[in-house]
Amino acid sequence: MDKPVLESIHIQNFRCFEHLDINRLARINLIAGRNSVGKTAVLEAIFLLLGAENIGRVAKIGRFRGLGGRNGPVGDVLDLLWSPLFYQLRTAGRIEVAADLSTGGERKVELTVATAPSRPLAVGSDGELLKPGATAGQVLRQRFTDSNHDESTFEVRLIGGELHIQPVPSTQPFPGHFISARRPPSPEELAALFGQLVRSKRVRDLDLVKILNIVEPRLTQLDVIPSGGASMVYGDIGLKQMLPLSLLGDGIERVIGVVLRIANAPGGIVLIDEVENGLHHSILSDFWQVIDRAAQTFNTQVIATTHSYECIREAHQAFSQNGDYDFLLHRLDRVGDQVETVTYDQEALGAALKAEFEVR
Amino acid sequence: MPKPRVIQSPKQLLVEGRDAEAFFHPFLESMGVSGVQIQNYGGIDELAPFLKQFVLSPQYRHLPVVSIGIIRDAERNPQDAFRSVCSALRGAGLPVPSKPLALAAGLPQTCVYILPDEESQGMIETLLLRAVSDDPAFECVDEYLECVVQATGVEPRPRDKARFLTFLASRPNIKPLTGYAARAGYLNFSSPAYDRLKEFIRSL
Repeated sequence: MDKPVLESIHIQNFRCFEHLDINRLARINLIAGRNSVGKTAVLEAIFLLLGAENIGRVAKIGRFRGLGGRNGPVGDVLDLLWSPLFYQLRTAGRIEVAADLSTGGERKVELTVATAPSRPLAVGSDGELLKPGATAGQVLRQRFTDSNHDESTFEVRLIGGELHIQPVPSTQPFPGHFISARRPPSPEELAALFGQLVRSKRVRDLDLVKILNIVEPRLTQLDVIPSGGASMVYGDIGLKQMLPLSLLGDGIERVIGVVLRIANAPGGIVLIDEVENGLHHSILSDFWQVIDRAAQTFNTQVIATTHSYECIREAHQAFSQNGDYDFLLHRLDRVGDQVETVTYDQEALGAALKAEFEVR
Repeated sequence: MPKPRVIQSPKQLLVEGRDAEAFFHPFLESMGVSGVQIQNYGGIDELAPFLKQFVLSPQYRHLPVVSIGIIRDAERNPQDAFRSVCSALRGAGLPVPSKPLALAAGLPQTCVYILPDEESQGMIETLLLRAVSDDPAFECVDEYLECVVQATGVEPRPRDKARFLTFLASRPNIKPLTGYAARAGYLNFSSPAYDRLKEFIRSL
């Protein structure tokens, strides 16, 4: 079986991290820690790195946090989207996110804010800017390098209240998905993911109905059905007609959302914030069994955050039963102004859980 | 679900099993010792993984933990028992003392006590028996166990545990568990048999 993509991750000057290393990554990883220690920020850093060829990711991670709308003018970009990316809002510094790859190489992305405009700004006879919202100095530069010595530089500019990216981003070498804690998947997204799996003929590698039976035992069939100009995934639970999955509960949406993203990221990474959201404790063990099988089938790496002791315990027990324990728990600890990583392997985590010791 | 255990004190006393944990709480109270948190690491094979996770625990560096005392039964060989504890300490990256009762300097410092002592076979019950061996009930305890052997052909083992539990069964208000017996005052905490153990605990 192929190894998962990332072996380690190193973050500098990003969000709350002056410097953070996670030196070992497994196929399945859980990140725990207190509130505001930076669990989501780790996922965001990896998301930026995965899409290093696409600086638009910077705006996306803002939306995951509920900042900025989908369309329309962005407003004061530097304050809202860009400067909070930098450690202690120090936009004079440089963000670096680097990862060691299982292929033996390295991938790195650097973000800086340019302090001077590289094009003149038009001003009217009254001294006001002709393009409202255009402000000097609001250029975010992203430089991506990998161990093949490929290097690309992208810029995001605020022009006329809109973000402009140049050059046009290219596709990333391996797929990645970010599942936000705040934003559940839309029915259209689920339908699109399901459809992609059918199109690639890989839906047969998953028994989706059986997987969703862990949440809804009455489910017997799934189908994508156009409705009102959009397609949605419908499920048959024995009523006189099928219902959209969004009407069958948060749990079923959560499980199918995670599984479809894993299946649609072969050889890539799925990042999940607050993985236990919407899931009753009684199904956590089955959920992790499903994740383990799907991640192995599609060779996908999973990095998730959690607040839940039960979630950690059930993950450990599920992977221990499977014989091929490819799971690590990473806890982020704030030590003074710094954040450090503590990693539990199978032996340490098993001992902690057996002794009912805190690990979060 | 009960709340997971957390490290709450810079001084930690790690003991072997629930009976030992139940014993040491009233024992430390009788000594007037506070500020030492007692942890049960389970059986002798569980000490190594317990220490490994213990040093990763959220409050371990935050407090920080400055002193760890480990108590283990000698079983058949006190020297082997001490070596086993040292191996577990080494595996967790902790300082290793040169001998039982010696302090290994560091952050945290560590210290090891082998029960009943560093030169004798036995277990916690061996030490407890030393503290109550003057009690007149012991005449009957040994006679009873001899009678059991004669009648059944089976010798209760371990012998010290059998003697100790038989002694507890002779108390006016029977407390079969060590912890309850300790709280009921049956274990004679003022006995000189405990002097070295008290010295060890004070050194934490």
